[in-house]
Amino acid sequence: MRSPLLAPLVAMSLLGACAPAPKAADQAGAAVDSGEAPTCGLPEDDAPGHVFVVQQLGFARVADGVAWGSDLDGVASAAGDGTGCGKPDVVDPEGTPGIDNAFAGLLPALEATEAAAISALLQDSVIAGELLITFELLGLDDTVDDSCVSVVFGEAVGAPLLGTDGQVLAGQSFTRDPADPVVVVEAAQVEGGRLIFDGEFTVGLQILDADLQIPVTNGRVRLDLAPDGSAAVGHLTGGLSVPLMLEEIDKYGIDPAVKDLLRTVLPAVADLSGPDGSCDQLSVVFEFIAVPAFFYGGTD
Amino acid sequence: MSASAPLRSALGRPAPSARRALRGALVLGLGLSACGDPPKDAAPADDGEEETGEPVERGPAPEVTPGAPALRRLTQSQYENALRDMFAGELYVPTNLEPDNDVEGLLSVGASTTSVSAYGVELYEAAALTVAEQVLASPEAKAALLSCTPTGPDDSTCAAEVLGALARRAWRRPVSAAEVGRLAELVAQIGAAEGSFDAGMVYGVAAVLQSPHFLYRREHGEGTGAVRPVTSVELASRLSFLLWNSIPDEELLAVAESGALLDEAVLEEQARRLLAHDNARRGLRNLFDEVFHLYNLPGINKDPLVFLNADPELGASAREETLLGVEAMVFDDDGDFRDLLTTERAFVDRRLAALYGVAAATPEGFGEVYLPAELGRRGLLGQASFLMLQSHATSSSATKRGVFVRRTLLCQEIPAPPADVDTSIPEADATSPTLRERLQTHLSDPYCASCHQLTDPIGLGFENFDGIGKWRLTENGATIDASGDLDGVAFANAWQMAEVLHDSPLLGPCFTRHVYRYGVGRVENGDELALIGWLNEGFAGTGYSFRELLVDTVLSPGFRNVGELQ
Repeated sequence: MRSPLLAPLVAMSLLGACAPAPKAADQAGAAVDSGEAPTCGLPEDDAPGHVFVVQQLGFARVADGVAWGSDLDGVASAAGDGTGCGKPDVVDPEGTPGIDNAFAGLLPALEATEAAAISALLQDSVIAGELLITFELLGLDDTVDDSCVSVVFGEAVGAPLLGTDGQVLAGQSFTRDPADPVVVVEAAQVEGGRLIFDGEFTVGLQILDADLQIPVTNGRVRLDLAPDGSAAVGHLTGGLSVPLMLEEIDKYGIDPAVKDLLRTVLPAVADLSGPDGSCDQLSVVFEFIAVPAFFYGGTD
Repeated sequence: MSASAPLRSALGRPAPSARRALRGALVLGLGLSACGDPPKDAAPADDGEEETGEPVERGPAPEVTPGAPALRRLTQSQYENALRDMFAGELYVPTNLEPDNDVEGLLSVGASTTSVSAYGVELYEAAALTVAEQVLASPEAKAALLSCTPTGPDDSTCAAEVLGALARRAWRRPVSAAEVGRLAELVAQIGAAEGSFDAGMVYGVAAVLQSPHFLYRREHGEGTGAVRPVTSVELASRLSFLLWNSIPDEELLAVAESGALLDEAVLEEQARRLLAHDNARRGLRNLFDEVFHLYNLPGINKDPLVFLNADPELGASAREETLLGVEAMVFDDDGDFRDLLTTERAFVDRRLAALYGVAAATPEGFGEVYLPAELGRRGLLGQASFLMLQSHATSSSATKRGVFVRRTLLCQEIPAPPADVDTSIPEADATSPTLRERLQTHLSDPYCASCHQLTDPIGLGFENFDGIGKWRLTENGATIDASGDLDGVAFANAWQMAEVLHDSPLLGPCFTRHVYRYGVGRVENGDELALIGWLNEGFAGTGYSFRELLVDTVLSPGFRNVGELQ
C-alpha cells in the first residue's frame, strides 16, 4: 500500500508514461488532428502490433554527472550560466550533453525522509497492477530501422501474472483500461534500434480516491528495442509543473516537515521554464524495461 | 499364451480383413520389442482401405480367449465420481484414500492388481462416514436420499427402502433382501441408541460406501469355459466406467437388470446414449488423464529459479489444456483422432498463453486460440502438459520425451535403465552447450545406446522447448538443432515431427490398445492382440473417430467376455 505521504509523488511518477499526445484519440478512438500532416500514418490493415507492457519502472539517477534522459530545453546548461534556470545539465552515458534530469538531484533528499521508498513504491504499483503502462507499435517491420511506426499508448487493468522472479510476466495478455484515453503517436521512426518520439503528456491517475491530472510538458520517450523484440529498454523525460505538484501535495495529510521541505526544495531545483518563461518546471526521467505483451483476443 | 498364437490364428483366415487383423497384430507385436533397432519394417497403417483406395468391409471380430477376470478396485476418480453421481448437492469427497497404482501406464490396469492395506480400510471408513454425514446434514442431499418419512429413530422399514435403493445404485446390481435387512437393522439399532433416525442413517450410508461391493468392481462373468460372458449388470458397470468413469445411471442399470443389455443392439444403443451425455466428457478426460499421466501435473515441481513461468498453477493449467483439446476433438468435432498431434488449435488460459507467446482469448478461464506456425508449436506434443511432464525439474529431457513417444504414442517397450547405471549427463560447457552434445555420452556407449538411440533422437526434436515448454532457439548461447528422424523419417523440428507421428502406422493401434486395456482393466493377452488389430482396423475405417473406437470396443467380444476364473 502506498502511504499518503508518498501518494502525490507516486502519482507524479505515474503520469509520465500515461499519455503522450501529439495526436490524441478520444475515448471512441477518433484521432484528433495535430495540424501537421504525418509522413506516414496508422497501418490500414489489421496487422497486429507489437505490444509491450512496462515491467520495471524507476527514476533515472545521476551518477558522476551522467544520467539517461533527454535534452528537453535544447540547451546544455552549466551551473550559473544563465541557461536552464541556472541548473546544470548532465550528460548521458553515450556522451550526449544537455540532459535534463533535475528530479534525480532531489531523490537523495526525498529518500532521507519518509519518502525513502519512493522508487520501490513505483515498482510496487506496477506489480500490483495499478500502473500497467502499455504501448503498442503499429507498422513495425524492422526493430532496427523502420521509418514509419505508430505508437499507441495506454494503460491496462487487472492483476498481472507475476513470474517466479516477482516481476510482471512477459508475454501475458491484458485488458485495455477502458477509462484510459488511447493516445496515438504517428510517424515515429526506429533508427539503430532506437525509437524516439515527443509529446505533451497528460496524467490520468486514480489514487486514494483522487483523480490526478498532471501535465508533463515537453515529454520525450526513447525506446531501445531488442533486435528479437523480446524487450524494450526505455526512458521517459518530461517536465513536471512545480506549482501543480505543490497543489497536489497539499491535498494529502503529509508530514508538515516534509511538506515544508518540498515547498522549499521543489522551486529551488526547477530547471525548466514554463509557458510563461518562469522557472517552474522540474525535469524528471523515468527509466523502464518493457516486455512483450498482448491484449485479449489480439491486439486490436 | 505366446504372441505367435494369434498370428497362427490369423494366418488361417485368408480374408483381407483377417490380413488386416494380422497386420494390426504385427504392428503391436513389433511395438513390444525390446531396445534395439527401431521397427523399420512396421506394417503400414490400417487405414480401412485396400491398396486400390476403395473402402473395404471389415470382417467379423476374431475369436479370442480373453484374459482372466479381475477384481478392480475403484480408482480415486471413480470413487469420487460415483459419490457425486449418487448424492445431490455439494459434496466434499475426501481424497486421502489408498493410492492408485500405475501398471503398464494405466491406473485402470493397476486397479486390477492392487489391494487395500489395513490403513487403507481405515481411510475408506473415514471417507464413507465423512460423506454420509454430509449427505444427512445437507437439506438438499438428504431430501434426495430419503424417499420415505421415518416414523421414528428406529424405523427399519424406511431405512430398508432408502438403503435398498442406495445400495443397488452403489453396488451396481440388485441387492438381496438379506443385504438390505442387515443395513436396515444397523440403522435401527444406532437410530434407537442415538434417538435419531438420521444418526442411524449416517452409519447405514457409510456401510454401503464401505462395502467391497461398492469399492470393487466385480466382473467375474458367468458360466464355465475359457470364454464366459460377463453378466448383464457387470457389463453395465464396464460400460459405464469406460464411458463415464462412474457408476451406471438408473436407465442403464434397469436395462442391465432386465438382461436386455446382453443384446448387442441394446448395448450399442446404451453406449451411444452414454456417449451423448455430458458425463462422457468426464469419462474421456479420465481416460486421457491416465494415458498421458496428466494427474501428475498439478503441483509438479519445477525450479522457479530456472523457469520464470513456473508458477504453482501452471501444471493444472497444462492438464486442463490437454483435456479440453481432447474433449473438443472427440465430442465437438468427432474428428480424426490423429489430428491431436497436428492441430494448431489450443485451449489456453492467460497463464499458458503467456508461456506460449500468444494472446489469450479471455481473462478468465480457458479460451480457444490458434497457434501461428512461426511459433513452432502445435498439437499434443507442443503442449506444456507433455513438455513439462517429460522433463526434469531444472531442465528438459530428450530421453524422457523420447520414451513417452515410444511408449505412450507408439506402444513400444523401452526398458527402464538398470538400477546400477549412472544416468547423469555431463554439465554444459563451451564444447557441449546444448543437450544434443551432452547426450553423446548415451549414444557413444554401446550399452546405453541400445535404448537411447531409440529415444534421444526423438526427444532432441523437442529441444526448442525448455523444461516447462517455453519456446527457445538457443541453449547456453548455442543454436539448438532440433532435427532428427523417427525410424528413418527425417524431421527438422517438433513441428515436422508431429506430422511424422500423425502418419505413423503405430499410432492408431497404440491408442486402440490403450482403450482396450483401460476398458477391460488389464493387459491384453496374445489372443487379444488380434482383436486389438481388428479394432484398429475399424478405428481407421471410421477416419479415426475416437467415439466410434469406444463403441467398437464396447461391442467387441473382449469387452463382453472374460476368461476363466483363476
